[in-house]
Amino acid sequence: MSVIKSGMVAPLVFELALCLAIAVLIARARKGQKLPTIRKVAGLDALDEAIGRATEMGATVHYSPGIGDIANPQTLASFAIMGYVAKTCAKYDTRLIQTNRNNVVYSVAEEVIKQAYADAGKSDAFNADDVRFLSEDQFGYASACVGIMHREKVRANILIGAFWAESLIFAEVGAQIGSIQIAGTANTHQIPFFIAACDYALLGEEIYAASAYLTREPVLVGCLIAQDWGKMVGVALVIVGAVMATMKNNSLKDLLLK
Amino acid sequence: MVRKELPLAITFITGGIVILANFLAPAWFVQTNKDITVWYQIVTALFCGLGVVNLCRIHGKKVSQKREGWPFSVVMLVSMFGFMLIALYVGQQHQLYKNLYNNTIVPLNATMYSILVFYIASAAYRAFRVRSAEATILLVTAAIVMLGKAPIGEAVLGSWVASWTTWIFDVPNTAGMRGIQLGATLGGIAMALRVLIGIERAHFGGTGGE
Amino acid sequence: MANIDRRIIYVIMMLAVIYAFIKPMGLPITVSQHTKTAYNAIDALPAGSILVLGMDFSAGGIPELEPAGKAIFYQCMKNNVRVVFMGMWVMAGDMAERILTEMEPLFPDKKYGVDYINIGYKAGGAPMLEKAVDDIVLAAVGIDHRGNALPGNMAIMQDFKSLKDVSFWVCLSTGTPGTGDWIRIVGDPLKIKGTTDIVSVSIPEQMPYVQSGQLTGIIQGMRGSAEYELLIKRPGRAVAGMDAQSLTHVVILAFILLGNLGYLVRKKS
Repeated sequence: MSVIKSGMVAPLVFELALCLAIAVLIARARKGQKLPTIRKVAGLDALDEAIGRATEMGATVHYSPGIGDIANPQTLASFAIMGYVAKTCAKYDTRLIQTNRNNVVYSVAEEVIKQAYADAGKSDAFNADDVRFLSEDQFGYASACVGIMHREKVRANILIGAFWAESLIFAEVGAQIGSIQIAGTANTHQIPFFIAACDYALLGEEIYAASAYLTREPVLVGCLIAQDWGKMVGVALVIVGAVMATMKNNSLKDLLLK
Repeated sequence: MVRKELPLAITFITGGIVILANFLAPAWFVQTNKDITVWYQIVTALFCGLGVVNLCRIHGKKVSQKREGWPFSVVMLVSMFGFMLIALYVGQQHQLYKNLYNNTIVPLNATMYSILVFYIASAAYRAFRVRSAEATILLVTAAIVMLGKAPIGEAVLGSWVASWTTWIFDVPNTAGMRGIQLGATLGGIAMALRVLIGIERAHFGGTGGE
Repeated sequence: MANIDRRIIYVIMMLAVIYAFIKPMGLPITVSQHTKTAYNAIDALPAGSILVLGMDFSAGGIPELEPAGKAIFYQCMKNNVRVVFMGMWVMAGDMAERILTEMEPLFPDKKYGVDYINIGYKAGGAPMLEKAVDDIVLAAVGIDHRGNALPGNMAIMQDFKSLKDVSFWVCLSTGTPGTGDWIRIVGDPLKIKGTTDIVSVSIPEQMPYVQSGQLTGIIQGMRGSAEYELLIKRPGRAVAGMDAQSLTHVVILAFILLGNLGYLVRKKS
C-alpha cells in the first residue's frame, strides 16, 4: 500500500512547497531582510475612521464574524480584525457589541475581546454581556442582529468573516440606520451585496491579510508574501494547463491527479 | 506559558494529524483522525450549552433589572425553554410540537429570509447607476440575468434572454469566481498554516502575531 | 426619481408579489440544461440504490428548496430508489419531516425504515459528515430523528452503513455547512456523484463546480425547483411562485431605470 493516498501527491507537494516558502520568508523576516510593502487596503484603513465616528456620536460599534464555524479560515481571519477593533474601542471607551451564530466561535470571541481590553489596559471596561451568542439558526441570528442594530444605536457596523444569504440583510439595515459600514468576506457570491450596500468592502483574500496589515509584523508579512508566491504558481498552472488542454495534451492534468 | 503554549501545542499536533490524514494512507493517521473528529463532534455538542447560558445571562439580567424592552426577553426565554421542554416531554413527532414548530418558527424564519427581496430592490435601486462604462456594462448584464431568470423575460423578449443568461453564468461569472476562489482558497490555506504553526495567534486575543 | 423613499419601493414590491399570487399569469417555464442533467442523473439510479438528501437549510430556505426536495423524493419513490434524509443544520430533521408529511400519503406502500429514513440533524458540522463517511451510526450517535435506535432492525440500515454506500447525494443548501462540504468530503474523495439545490443568491459560487463536473448539474433556487416540478410532471409551489418572481424582477428593473433617469437628469442640470 502506498504511503500517500491516490490523487493526493500533487496537493501534498503543493502544500509542502507553501510551507517551505513560508519558512523561508519567516527566516528572511527574522534576519531583518527587506520584504515587499503591502498595498493599501482601504477597508482596513477605514476601521479607525468608523470607530472614531461612533465614538464622536457616543454610539455603538457592532461586529459580526459571519456565520462560519471555528474551522472556517475566514472566521479565524476575522478574529485578528476583531481584536484590533476591540482594542481601539477599549482605548476610546466606545461600546462594542459583538454577535455570534456559532457557540464555539462565541466562546473564542469572548476571549479575544477580553484580551484586547486587557491589552488596552481597560480590563474593567470589558462587559461580557456585549459579546453575545444569538442563535444557531442563520435567519434567527440575522433577525437578532437587525434588532440590536436598531435598538443599540449602532453607528459603525463591521461585518468580516464568512457570510451567506444573510449578508444583504445586515448591510442594508446598516445603511438604513446610517451606520458607516465595513464588510469583508471570501465568499465570492456575497461580495456584490457588500459592495452595493457598504462604505468599504474587503474583497476575498484581503481579509486574510488583516493581521499582517494591522500589525506590520515582519513574520506575518512574510507569510502573506509566501501566499502570493503560491498564487503565482497557481496562475502559472492554470495558464499552462489551459494551453495544454487546448492542444489536447493531458500530461499536466494527469500529473496533478496523481 | 500554559495559557498560550499548551493550546498551541495541542493545535499543532491535532491540526497536523488532521491535515496529514488527508494525504497519508497509514492506518494510524486515518484512525487518529477519526478519533479527533469524534472529539470535535462531542465538544461542539457541549458548546451548545454555553450558548444557552449566555442567552439566559443576558436576558435574565434584562428581565430582573426591568431594562427597556424586558418583556421581549421574557418572550425569548419562554420560547427557548418552552420548545426545549415540549420536545423533551412529548417528542418531536408529537402533533403539539409539529404545530408549534410549523406555525411559529417556520413562518418567522421564512419572513426574515423573504425580507431579502425588499432589500435587494432598494440596494439595486441605489447601487446601479450609469456612472461609467463599467457600471453600464454591469447594469446591462444584471438586467439580462434578471429577465433571463424569470419566465417573463423569455415570454416577452424570446429565448435569447435565457441563452444569454446561461452564457453569462457559465462563462464570465465562472471565470471571475474561479479567480477570486483561487486567491481566497490560497489565503485560507496560508491562514490555516499560520494558525497551525502558531504564527497567527489572533484567537488568543490582540491582533495576532507572535 | 433619484431618491425614492425605500418604503415606497417596499410597498410596490409587496403589491407585486400579492398580485402575482391573486392573479397568476401562468407564464411558460423552460427547463434549463443544468436541471435536466441533475434530473437525468437521479432518474438513471437503479432501483434499490440509496440517495442522500442533505437538508442543510432552515425554514428561510423552504420556498426555494423544499419544492425540489419533495420532487426528488417523489421521483425516487416512483423509481424505487431509497432515500436517506440527514443534515448538518439544526432544523434538518424538521425540514425532512415537512416533506415526509406531504409525501407519505402518496406512497402508502413505502415504509419508513425500509424505503426511506430521517436521520435528522447531528451536531458537528463538516466533521460529522467526515464521520458519516466511515460510520453513519456513530455519526448519528445511534438515533434517528424519530427517536428510533440505529441501526435497530430497520432494513435500510442493513445496506446503509456509511456514506460510502450511497449512489448519489443532493445537498439542499442556504449556507454553511453545505454544498462545499459535500463536494470536499463525499463527492471528490469517494467519487460519488451529487448535485445541489441552492438559494438563488448563492448560485454564482457553485458554477465552477458544475463546469468541473464536481456537481452533476445544479438546481438553481426557486426557478430550478419549478423546473424540477415540471420534470416530474407535478407542478407545485415553486411553479406557482415563478409569476411572483417575474413581477418582482420587472419592478426592480423599473426602479433601476427610474433611478438612472433621475441620476442623468440631475447630472445634466
